[in-house]
Amino acid sequence: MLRPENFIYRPKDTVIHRLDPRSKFYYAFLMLVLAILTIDFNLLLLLLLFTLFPILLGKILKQVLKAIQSSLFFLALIFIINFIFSLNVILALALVIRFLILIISFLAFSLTTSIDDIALSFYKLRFPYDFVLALTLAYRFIPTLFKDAVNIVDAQRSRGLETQKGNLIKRVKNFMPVIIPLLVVAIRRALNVAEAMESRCFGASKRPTNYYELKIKFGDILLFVASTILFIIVLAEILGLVKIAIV
Amino acid sequence: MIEFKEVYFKYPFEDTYALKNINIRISKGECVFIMGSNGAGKTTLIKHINGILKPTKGEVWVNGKNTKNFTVAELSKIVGIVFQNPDHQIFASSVYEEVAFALRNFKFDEKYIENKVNETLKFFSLEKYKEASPLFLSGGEKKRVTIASVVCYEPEILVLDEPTVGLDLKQRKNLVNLVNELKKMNKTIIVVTHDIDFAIELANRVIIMNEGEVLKEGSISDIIYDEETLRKANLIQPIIPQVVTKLKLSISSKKIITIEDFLTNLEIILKNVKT
Repeated sequence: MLRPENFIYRPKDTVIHRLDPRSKFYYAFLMLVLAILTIDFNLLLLLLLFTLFPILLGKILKQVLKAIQSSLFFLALIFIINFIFSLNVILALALVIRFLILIISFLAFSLTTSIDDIALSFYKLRFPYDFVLALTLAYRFIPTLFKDAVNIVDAQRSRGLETQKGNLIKRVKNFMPVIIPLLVVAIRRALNVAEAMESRCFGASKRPTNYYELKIKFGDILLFVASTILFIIVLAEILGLVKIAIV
Repeated sequence: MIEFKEVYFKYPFEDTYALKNINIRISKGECVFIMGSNGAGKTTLIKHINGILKPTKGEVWVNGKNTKNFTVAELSKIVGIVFQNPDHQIFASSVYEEVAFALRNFKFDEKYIENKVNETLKFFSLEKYKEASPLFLSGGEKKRVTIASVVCYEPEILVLDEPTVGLDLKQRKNLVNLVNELKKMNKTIIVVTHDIDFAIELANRVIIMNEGEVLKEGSISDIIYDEETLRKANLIQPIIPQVVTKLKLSISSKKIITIEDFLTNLEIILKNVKT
């Protein structure tokens, strides 16, 4: 089961947590591009190894493993479907590794970067403040909505609702007692938050000031350079310009 | 009868147990209050009674049925749970439909449903809202609708999770009356609450939980005079036991629970204080 807690930032004092969100996003984005560009098993394995460094340095291995455990069904599905259609174990494994790289590299970003830092990055990139705030709130309320959904399902099941019975139309209909309270709760909460924000002068300034500023530090430059070098090398290998010997 | 036998429960992907070695037996017709601080495992415990959660280790038996072998829908016919937040359950277009929801799920015939719903709405003073949308009622009225929607199908066991939250004094009194009525009908009632005064009015037995374990079980007088347990469970000692404890009476203080007890024993208390 996908549990949002496994995908959410928890504050820690590590090298990776202290990095600028822009450099972490740059790294995650490059890993994503490389993983999509290549299907070579060895190269993907190399990329997978590279994704482990931020995980270990950021001390989020346990959380990442739990997130992977939540995604085991999808990983198995990717392997089985690709094996059935290609009858090639290596190719099926390569695609599983590709998916793992996507998960891990973005987890390295999302698990070590607070939503405030992400929002601040957007703000610094001159995105409108309303957009940045909407993004922050949407992200922040995911676990709350998930908890609400669980509670609603429990409450309705306790009154005899069976969501897994009947044909497709019946099942969709059975979900109405879950969807309606969820929407009502979400809308009510949104209105409450809007009122609370307005009570604290939201909208008084188009570009409010920030509590702190983002600064590029030595670690960010290091990650930026290392990611770029890896990107160039792997891209060169993909284009056949160099040959990397992997034992 | 409800029986928890060495129950342990761990949520998926969590490291620690939410319930640890729970051994509880609740007899038919008992009114048991479960109390404790936030995160003590109270709601997790009650979700085991109708099988929403199944124990990781151990067994939960309800009227001779091991919850592991029955669906929530099957167990819900015996166990009605009213959850804390009414907004998590209200969805129907009218109060009538909301109250009829469980009865329809349990496939009662339409004539019976009509009679039962009307009877329940009358009992809860909700008749005037029969056609109104439950979504736009006040907090206390919504709470009554949610309780009515469970009480209407007459489960043998009724579980109330924080029923007094959001109720004004009058509605609270109505709730006390309702629980007393249900007690007279020999229903088993389990209440999860922080409201110690509510427990004083109704509880036959109190179970105090802390960090997923049963800290203490006993009568309300055992609990309200046990300062150590109350402190661990983050519960405030009611004013009368506080006064009696401060006076350091040599008489059996455990009999003095309510203001009425205090006034009845006032003469003895005064004599005791003077000496």
